[in-house]
Amino acid sequence: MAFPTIGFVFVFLPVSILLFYGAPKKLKTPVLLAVSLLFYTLLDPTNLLLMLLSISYDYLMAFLILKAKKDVSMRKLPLMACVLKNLLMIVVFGLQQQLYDIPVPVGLLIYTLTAMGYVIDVYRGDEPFEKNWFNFALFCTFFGKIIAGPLVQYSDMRQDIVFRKPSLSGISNGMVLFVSGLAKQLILAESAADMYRMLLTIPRESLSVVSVWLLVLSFTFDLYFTLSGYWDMARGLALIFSMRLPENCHYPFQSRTVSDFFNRFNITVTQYANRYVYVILGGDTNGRMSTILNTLLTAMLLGLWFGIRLNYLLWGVYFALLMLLERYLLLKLLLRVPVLFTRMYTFCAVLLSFTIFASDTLGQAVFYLKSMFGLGELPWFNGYASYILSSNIPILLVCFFALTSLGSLLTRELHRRHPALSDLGAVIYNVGLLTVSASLML
Amino acid sequence: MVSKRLSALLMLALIIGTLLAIIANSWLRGSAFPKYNRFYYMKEYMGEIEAFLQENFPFGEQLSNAAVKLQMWAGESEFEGIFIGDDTLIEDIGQPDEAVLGRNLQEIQSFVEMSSSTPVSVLYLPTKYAIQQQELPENAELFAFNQKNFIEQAYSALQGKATTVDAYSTLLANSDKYLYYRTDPNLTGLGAYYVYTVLVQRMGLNPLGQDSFTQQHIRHDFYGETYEKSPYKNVTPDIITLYRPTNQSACSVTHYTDYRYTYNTLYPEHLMELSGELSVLLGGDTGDITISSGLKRQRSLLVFGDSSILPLLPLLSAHYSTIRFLDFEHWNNNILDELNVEDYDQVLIAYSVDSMIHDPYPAQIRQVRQQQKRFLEE
Repeated sequence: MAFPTIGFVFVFLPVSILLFYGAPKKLKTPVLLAVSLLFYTLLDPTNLLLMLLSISYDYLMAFLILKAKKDVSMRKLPLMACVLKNLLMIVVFGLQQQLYDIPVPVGLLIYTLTAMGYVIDVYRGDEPFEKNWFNFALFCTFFGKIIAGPLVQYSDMRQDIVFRKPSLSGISNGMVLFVSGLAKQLILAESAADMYRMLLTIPRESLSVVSVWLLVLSFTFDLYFTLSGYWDMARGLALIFSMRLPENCHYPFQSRTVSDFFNRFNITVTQYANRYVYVILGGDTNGRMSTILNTLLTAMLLGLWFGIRLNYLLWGVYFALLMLLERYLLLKLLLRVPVLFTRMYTFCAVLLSFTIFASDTLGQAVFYLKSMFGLGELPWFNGYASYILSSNIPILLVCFFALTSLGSLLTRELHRRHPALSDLGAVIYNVGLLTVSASLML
Repeated sequence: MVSKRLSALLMLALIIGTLLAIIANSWLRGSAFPKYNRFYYMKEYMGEIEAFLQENFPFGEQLSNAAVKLQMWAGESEFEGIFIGDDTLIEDIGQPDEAVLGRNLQEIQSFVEMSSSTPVSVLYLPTKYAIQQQELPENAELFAFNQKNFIEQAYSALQGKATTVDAYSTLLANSDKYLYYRTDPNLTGLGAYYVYTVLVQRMGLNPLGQDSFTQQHIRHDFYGETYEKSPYKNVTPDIITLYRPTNQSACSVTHYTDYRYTYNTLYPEHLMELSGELSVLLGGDTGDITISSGLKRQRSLLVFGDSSILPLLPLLSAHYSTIRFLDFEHWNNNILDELNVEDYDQVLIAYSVDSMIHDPYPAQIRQVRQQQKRFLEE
């Protein structure tokens, strides 16, 4: 059961809300955990036990670290056992998918990395040991984030899980955020995906420069709005159940540099990689060579977040190279150039990166890149491109608009000048979004 | 904040209200909630639940229509493989299954090449998508299977071995007329008449004028198969017109299924209520149908085809005393023992392009060829 289904929005969600708010305070966490496990069962019943065993194992390792107190070697052992187990699971299941097309268990990366991060934090003394297994299990498996994240640290959720304070404003913000994510997914991501699928049916010899641009653009929009929609829904669901999840995406296509893009896109994964890989490796404190290697490794891991595939790895390398280029050569120049140009530079750099992401082979990526700059033998425009463009112009414009913060700026301005009108408009807009989303799920 | 609270309150009310309405709807309609059994995969079961919820969603049809209109406003014109034309729905037949298409063409060609004294005609019927191009958005046809090219190439492989029938040009030349139903992929009575004129000419006969058929409009409220599949429903219903040859005194249509039954009319109208409106054509496609037209002049025709050909057969009955129609999708191959192509004056192989590129049934003509070979050897 995915989020954008009638079953989830109109049955699972209201029933869960009623159960959660109907339960006494002490039982709220077990109820929410039960709801999360039920959600997982409906998604991937065969791997429920694996998930429970995995997080329980990590919980035990954290407990052993606590028990070892100051004995460093006894503390290291459970830490290594935890890291090894989790990395092994990620690699084995990732390779199984690559080699034998066996699907990766739902949420594998989320619950393994979440639990592993927690055990590392307990080892480093950054987090206290959580005595209540239910709290820990909910932190790892909360249904709102199990599909696509965000990747949270225990400190992000601990206060909310332990000292839960349900509030009307939390539910309100949560509902609005959830519906906005739902609409992003159903209206923007689905339309972009349809467009991308159609473009893929064009025989290679019938492509044109414009259709290759549209192909990369539609792929980018599909990926971005799917993820950003899921993250909004996750944060919205967390708020509905009186928890807060960190923001995972903040208008990344408005970034002025590629490094800034990574601080705004998949934020929690970037932070995780920085915290547990980049910093542990020494970050930028051991000289230029070490910084280069650490950046390269971290960026490659950010690529591998999307799956164990060569092109995802290359995607990471591409960004690492750009980030290093910016750091050592371009940064001063970029800060002096007008904002519009730096934003265009980042947008194009990111868009080009998705040619690597979208391609099955390196050869295909090179073909796309050459074609986008008119270096191949493709015509600039033809009937195929004309058809795709004419049937998708409005949705492309809406996608471009949704990439920017213009909407929220306009809303704020309207609210400042005409608060009543703005409130009324917001209500109509939100309820309208839910209605349109429902109609698209039918 | 006020707006968020009010929005959330309304949205929650909408969600919970919808859940209650779904429960009430399913209770009123008597539709049962899907039961889980151990043979299910969870994904399949969830799919069934989703379908159940969609079916009982309050104002589901109106909302779905509104969503399509919104998407049309945003420039889309194709939904789930169906184009929304100007008051018509057009199905895209998609790309061919190359293996299936290759086998179908090969077996038909082998049948045609089989030495036999019975002349064979071949008709590949283009679908509405290929003919009503004026209803499609500009350049949409680039993404579709090129039916014209396919028919031309298939016919050129049969050159000199069979009579090929170019229905494509005739239909295209009259594409502004009511040739296909607005809500169904099949030919209307008029469409069938145009195909009939070119077909009988190629088979060496003189086509009758429209005045040699009485035309009866029996339905003005027909919604066909495409309508059922389409999320967009704002289309005028179709008119079903029946063409009856005036030169027939008595006519019977016999179906050979597990048992044999006969209608004394080309169009058993009572079946429309029982098994769908288009079963009025000869009583529907049961796989083995014989039309006895009662014509004095003895001339027989054996037709291998699919259900898209059914509207043509009543018109052909004006020229043949006996027409036997076999559809390999539904036939009982026990009849092979008694089927001898030599017993007929002419053979017609007639399939829609859709069947040729997707269905494995046309290739089953191989069984008839093998049986015929045995007959010839004996």
